[in-house]
Amino acid sequence: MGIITLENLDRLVWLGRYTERVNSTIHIFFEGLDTYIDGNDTFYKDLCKRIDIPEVYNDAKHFIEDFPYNENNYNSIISNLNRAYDNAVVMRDYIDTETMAYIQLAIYDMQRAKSKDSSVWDLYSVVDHIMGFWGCVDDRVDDQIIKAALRAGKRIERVYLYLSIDKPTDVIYREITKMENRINEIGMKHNAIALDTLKTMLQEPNFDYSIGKLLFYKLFE
Amino acid sequence: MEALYSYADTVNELLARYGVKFGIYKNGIFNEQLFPFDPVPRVITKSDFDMLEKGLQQRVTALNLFLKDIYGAKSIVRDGIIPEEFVYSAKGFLKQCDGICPPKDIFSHISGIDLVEGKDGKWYILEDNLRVPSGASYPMIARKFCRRSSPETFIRNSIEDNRDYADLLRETMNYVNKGGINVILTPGRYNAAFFEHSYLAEQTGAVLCTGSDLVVENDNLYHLGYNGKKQRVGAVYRRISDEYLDPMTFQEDSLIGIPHIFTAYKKGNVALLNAPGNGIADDKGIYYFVPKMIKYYLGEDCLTNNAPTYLPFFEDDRKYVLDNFDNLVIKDVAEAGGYGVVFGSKLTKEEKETFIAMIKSEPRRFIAQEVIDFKDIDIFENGERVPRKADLRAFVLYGKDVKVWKSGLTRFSRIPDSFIVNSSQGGGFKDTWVLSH
Repeated sequence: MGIITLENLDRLVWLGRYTERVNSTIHIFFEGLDTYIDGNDTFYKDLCKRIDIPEVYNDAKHFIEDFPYNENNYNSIISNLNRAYDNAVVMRDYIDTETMAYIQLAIYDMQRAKSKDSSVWDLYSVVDHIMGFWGCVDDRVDDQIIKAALRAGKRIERVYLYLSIDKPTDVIYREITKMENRINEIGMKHNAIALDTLKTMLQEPNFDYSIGKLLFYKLFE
Repeated sequence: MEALYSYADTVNELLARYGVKFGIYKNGIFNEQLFPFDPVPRVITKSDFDMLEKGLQQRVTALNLFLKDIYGAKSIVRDGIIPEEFVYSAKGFLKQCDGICPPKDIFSHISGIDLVEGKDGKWYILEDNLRVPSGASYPMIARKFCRRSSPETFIRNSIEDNRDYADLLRETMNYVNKGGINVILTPGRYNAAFFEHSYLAEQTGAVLCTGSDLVVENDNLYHLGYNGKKQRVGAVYRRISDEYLDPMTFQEDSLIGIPHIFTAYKKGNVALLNAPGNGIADDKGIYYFVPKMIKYYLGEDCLTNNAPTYLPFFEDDRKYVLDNFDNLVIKDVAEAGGYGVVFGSKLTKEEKETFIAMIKSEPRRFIAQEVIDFKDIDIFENGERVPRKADLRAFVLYGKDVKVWKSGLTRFSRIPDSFIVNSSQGGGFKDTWVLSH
């Protein structure tokens, strides 16, 4: 691969972000489902708040039906997967057909899941295929910049989610370090002061997650 | 061969896995569809292929000479072989290309020639596609999966390997490359053939680009990197139409083209595959004259068969067309993709009258052809073998030599007795086997 255009670099970052978002939100969805089974009828309200999406659902049942599968809901898992696909399909020559196939397979899993009453197996398949995608990226993509751009996206998304769901600060710090390496590797513009502030705050006691999230938004403004 | 048939679902699942699709717009909405694969191959014997190969090489060579002549000396018109009405008033003739000779005098680097095998055993050429013919990637990738699904089939049968298409294409690009990288220029992912653009880029090692990735500076074409680096481009396999290629030269509101790319091409700094202006040679009206141009340029008899064709532009032909309307297929020269094709026998009385009036008022716009009753090939439909009409798109690559790819895209109609095989109209595809002995 020769030089990479700005547009394609952006697509690779977003491909990394969206695949990670799908992977993470499926797990978060399953965790929420567990609490629902145990009697928490309003689990979805907390979940929406935590992952920072509008709470537009009538009740838990509506959320369970809508959040994974409604393609008209911009924040649904399927919408995020479709956006991963939109970015992947134009990157075939960068990531290769074998790697691209895992996103395609995840799309089929999701479409199958959508058409069934019991769709847990297919949602797990989505996760499996996203893992396959990342394995393929490691194994088949030789270009370091392409790899770094995908991973930068993955780390950015992970930091965002970890800040949203109040993960322990040492875990977030570790992710931020990985993210920083990747964005430096691809020369991605970011707000270095916001990043340093965030890292410093994470090492201090009583980390304020809401301020952490505000700083995150500042990173790529 | 039968062993392969039981793997039809496997092959189709693999094609789905790898996103082998085509795009289609219906009611303004874009959809990606899988291109249904049927496992019964079209089989071309070695002797048939040898004969076709010579004919296709001859045809494409003559069409190239025609393009060079039309945009150069224009002797074929001056000598009265082709009336000037069929050249200068044709939509495909681009005056901007007049006087320009592309690198190594090659205009049509990748030609897609549509043929059918008649029930009389003869092969007939239906159309020459010299602008942006698509479809080679489908049999190429399908072969890979067929081989893996049913290895015995390919061990027992002597079939020419068709997985070399990307190599042929790369050689073709390299041959005319003016210094720099090869790129494949796509209109974007919402183009019907986007899968092919991206797959061929991956397989040839060319860089897949949209117009915004390229820029012309000092009459050279460059690929723009995210970090400000630029890389010279030597050859562009462009999969966008002439009119959108350069807003400074052609359609000025084109958002998918590259400003000034035509100037870079004109100055000989970049090769465009295929050359702009080729539309004049694959005009349905010009098709009629191909045997004459072969005689004119090469001094040879045409080795391929044209379907018997009539030009309403000529009085005698017009009379024949009107007298035999019900037995003919009428084609609008401005249409493509199976559109604008009308079978006289299928029209109602009113439709027929309207059409005849159009032929009389715009005779240059139409050609009429005898309906070639082409051979059916079996397909599997709900587990049963049923005969369906199928055509063949042969790919001819013009680089150092003129090479006919030893395979092709066989498209079939799903509708019994329908002659319309286009994927956009519901058709599927088959592998095309050329036997090696």
